[in-house]
Amino acid sequence: MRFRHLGALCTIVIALFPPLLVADSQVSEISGVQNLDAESLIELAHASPELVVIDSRVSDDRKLGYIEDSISLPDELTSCKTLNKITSDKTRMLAFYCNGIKCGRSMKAIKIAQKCGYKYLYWFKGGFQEWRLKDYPYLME
Amino acid sequence: MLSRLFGIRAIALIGMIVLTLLALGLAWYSSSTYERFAFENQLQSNIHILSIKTHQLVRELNQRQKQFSYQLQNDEQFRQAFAEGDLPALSVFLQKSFSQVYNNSGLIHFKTLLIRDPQGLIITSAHEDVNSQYTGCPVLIDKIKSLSAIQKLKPRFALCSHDGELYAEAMLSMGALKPKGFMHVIAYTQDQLQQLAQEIQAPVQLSNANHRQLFQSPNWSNAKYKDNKVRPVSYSLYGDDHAIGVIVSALFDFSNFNQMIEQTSMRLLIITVSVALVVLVLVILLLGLAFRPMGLIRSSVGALLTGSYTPIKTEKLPVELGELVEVYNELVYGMQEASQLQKLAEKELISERDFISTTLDSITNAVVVVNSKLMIQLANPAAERLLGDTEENMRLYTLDEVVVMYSNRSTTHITNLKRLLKSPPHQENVFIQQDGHIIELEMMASPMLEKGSEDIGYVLVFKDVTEDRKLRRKLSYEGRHDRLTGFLNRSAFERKFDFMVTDNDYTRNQHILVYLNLDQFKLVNDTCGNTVGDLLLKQVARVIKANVRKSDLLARLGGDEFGILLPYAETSTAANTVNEIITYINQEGFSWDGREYTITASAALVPFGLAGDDYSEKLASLTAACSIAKDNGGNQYYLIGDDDEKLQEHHSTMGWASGINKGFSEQRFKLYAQPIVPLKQQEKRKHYEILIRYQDEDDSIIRPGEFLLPAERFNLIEKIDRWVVSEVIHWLAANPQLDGKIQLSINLSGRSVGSTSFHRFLVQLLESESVDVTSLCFEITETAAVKDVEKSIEFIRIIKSLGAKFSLDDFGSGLSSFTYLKQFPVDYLKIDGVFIKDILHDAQSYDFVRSITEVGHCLGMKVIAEFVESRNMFHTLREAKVDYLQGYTIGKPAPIELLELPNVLE
Repeated sequence: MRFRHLGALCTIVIALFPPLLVADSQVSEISGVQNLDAESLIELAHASPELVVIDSRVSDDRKLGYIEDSISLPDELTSCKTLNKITSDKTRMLAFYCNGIKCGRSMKAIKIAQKCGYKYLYWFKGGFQEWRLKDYPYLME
Repeated sequence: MLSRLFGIRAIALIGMIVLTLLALGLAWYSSSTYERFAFENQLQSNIHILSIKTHQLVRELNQRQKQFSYQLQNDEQFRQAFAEGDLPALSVFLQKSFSQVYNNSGLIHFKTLLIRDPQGLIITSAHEDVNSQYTGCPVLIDKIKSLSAIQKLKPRFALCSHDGELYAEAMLSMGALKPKGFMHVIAYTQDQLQQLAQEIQAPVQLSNANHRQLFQSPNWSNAKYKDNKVRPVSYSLYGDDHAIGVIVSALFDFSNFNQMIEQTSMRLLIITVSVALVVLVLVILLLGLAFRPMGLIRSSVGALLTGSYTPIKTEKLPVELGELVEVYNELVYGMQEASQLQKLAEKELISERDFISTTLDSITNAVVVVNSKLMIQLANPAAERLLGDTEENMRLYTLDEVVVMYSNRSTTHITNLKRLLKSPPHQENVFIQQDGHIIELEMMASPMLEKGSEDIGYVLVFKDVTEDRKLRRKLSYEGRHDRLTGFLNRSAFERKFDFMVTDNDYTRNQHILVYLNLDQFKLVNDTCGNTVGDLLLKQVARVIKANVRKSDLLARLGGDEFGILLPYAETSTAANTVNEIITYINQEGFSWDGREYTITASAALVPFGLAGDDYSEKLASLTAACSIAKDNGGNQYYLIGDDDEKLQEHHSTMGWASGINKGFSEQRFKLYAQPIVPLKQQEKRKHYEILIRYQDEDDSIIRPGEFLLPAERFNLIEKIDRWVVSEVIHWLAANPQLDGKIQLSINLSGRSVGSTSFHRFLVQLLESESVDVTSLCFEITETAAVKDVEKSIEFIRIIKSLGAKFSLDDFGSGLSSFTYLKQFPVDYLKIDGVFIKDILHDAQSYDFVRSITEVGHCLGMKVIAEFVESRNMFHTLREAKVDYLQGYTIGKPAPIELLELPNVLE
């Protein structure tokens, strides 16, 4: 009986404090930002030709390969100003990607974009790693 | 069953051989199976190798195709040309690629390069061979058309054959997010296939699904097909659409593999065989080892049977077998011990048997053992003698067939012998007849019992008691009877008396007990000898027997004493009977050697019959009464009445028996002296007669008249005489001042006079003590002196020779003849007081006294008158010329010690 109560208590604690169990570096979602995988990215690109794909990686990474038509804007350089250069239209759909899940650049860039007031933000969290694994075509600089 | 037929060892051996053969078969089978499987496996693995290598090469080619495409697209100019639809520029790019890629790497050999729009339609193309117009597999192109936009982005590959040639085709997307078109790359595969042949070291052949040969290694035809050493291995390669198949074949060389396999299976076979052989040998060895103790035990048991107990040595045996053998050894030791014990027991048994048989043989009693059916099992020599047959013969018969037994002296046949025997051990008297004699046997029968079962037999011990019984009966008779007269003896008589008394407890019948005693038996016995005395007794017995009833009981109580028991008798008739007996005894008389003896008897009788009547009491009364009868002159009987005064008085004498003995131990006897005074002139010595007195417990002095008679009766008189004599002599020795002044007269009984031992005693006493013997004078009565005249005379002479004087006492009462007097050499004659008492009144007495005195004087004796009781007698006695006077008037007896006083003798 006691153990059962203990189990119930644990369940309640976990339910009440989910953030405690999730590491900061592995944040999988950003509020107000839609997550995309490779296929949904391709579908979105088909559906909305206006979609701007931003590569948040540093330029060295782009030598290994990049998604064609993606704009290189490393996270360090990302700011309202640089974003504004790409598009000043805050309603423009922006998709961010970097090397992969472990890469925090795209998230960082998205948060900056959020602050800058861009409304339609997309996060291709799997990044280039997912893209290449799924054997989609890519270009190299 | 089998183990019984062949033995465990043979079976184990055969089993092992069979197992070895089976193992060999198994090894062979498994090696061949292994060969087959290994071959199959090798085949499969070769196919795998083939497929893997093929795939690898194809994929490598495809990758190169992809890389080639992406590299081309990386070119900004090319992209621009494509974007702008500049076909000549694109064509230049493509043409340039052929030589460039081909020349650079040498790894890819393009056939055709095509740019297609997103629907697959050719925008522009470039061919290696300008004559060739091959534009790729239709299947691949059709496929693209059907794909979704996303799927179109991914690269597609296919192996297609065309015109006898195999091509690797790749459809690669142009544009990343949106397919803007396709680059269709068609490459030769010949280099790759040759590379495959190189890599797998086997000739390779390629054919399409329709088995049309597409490619063949140049050395394909050289390959050999024999002994399974070289075999073709094929692999079907399918395209991405799973439809187009290319069959890749390779000729693999299995010779090495086969050799290896054969070697392996040969090794397996060898190992198996050697293992089997080793196991076989081991088993044989182990079996030998395991059966070793059995062999040892077998030989040891063989030895056991011959009686030699040899334990097996365990040192060289394995532990487990050693334990087994130790157990066996213990058994051997146990058996040895048991055998020793058994031998010992046998020895003991034999010796015991010998002992028993010897014992049985030497037993004088007949021992017969019968079984429960009374069949004779054993009979010892004594039994053989008794039953008159040998043991061997008797074993064929039952006991009652051998001997007829009677339960008593008459012929009461014992019919049920078994029932007689069945009872617990007991003794039985049986009789058998042998040669017309009756043999009386004591049969001791003991059943032999086995635990909890019926009797298994009986042991019978027969003791021939014929003689024994005869003797016993005789002894018993003799024990109860007097041999001389055939009358009952004293004890038997007493038993009869007691029996009658107890028997008479209620009936109160009166019986009579008679005591009879001869008056002159001693005279006859002494003068004529014992033999004649016996004759007299026999005669008396005959007389008694003739005068009593048949039922009356007769006994000789000792010497001349007879007892008669008259049961159920009236006093008067009994008295008559006794009277008759006495009369007849007297009438018959007794004669011997021409001399006639007058025989009289005295008797006493007393009635009895009460339960309290005591035999010894009655007998004492009777002897006393008989004494009275004797005192009354004998030849008469005394009938004891209910309250018999006379007898009572007589009874008092009985008390003296103890009184006299007491007198000695308590020094109750006292010596008195009475003066004897001479009538004429004074003498130098004063005469005294020593008298004995008994001082009773109340200090009253008792005269000898009361106790001398009992003393005589109880044979104590001699003892008294000895005491008096020695006392007087000691007294004299103690008073030497009286020497020569005194003469003491000592009375001696007839018994002492007749006793030779007394003679010796007196002589010794007189010689030993330093006393003046002349001052002693011994008085013997006339009756005592004449009892045995010669002995008396001899006694007198001896004592007189020592210096003592003699006096004949109570002279006249015995009325003995004067001839006797003449023979006795005495110094004094003492006239019986009876005559002195009456001397004053009775003339006869006076005459008698006077004549005796004269005779005495004639014989040179001095005469003493006793019982002088008055002074008047003095004169008369002086007339009668008596020499000495004695009596109360002269002087009363006084204790002897008074004589010691100095003035007494004056």
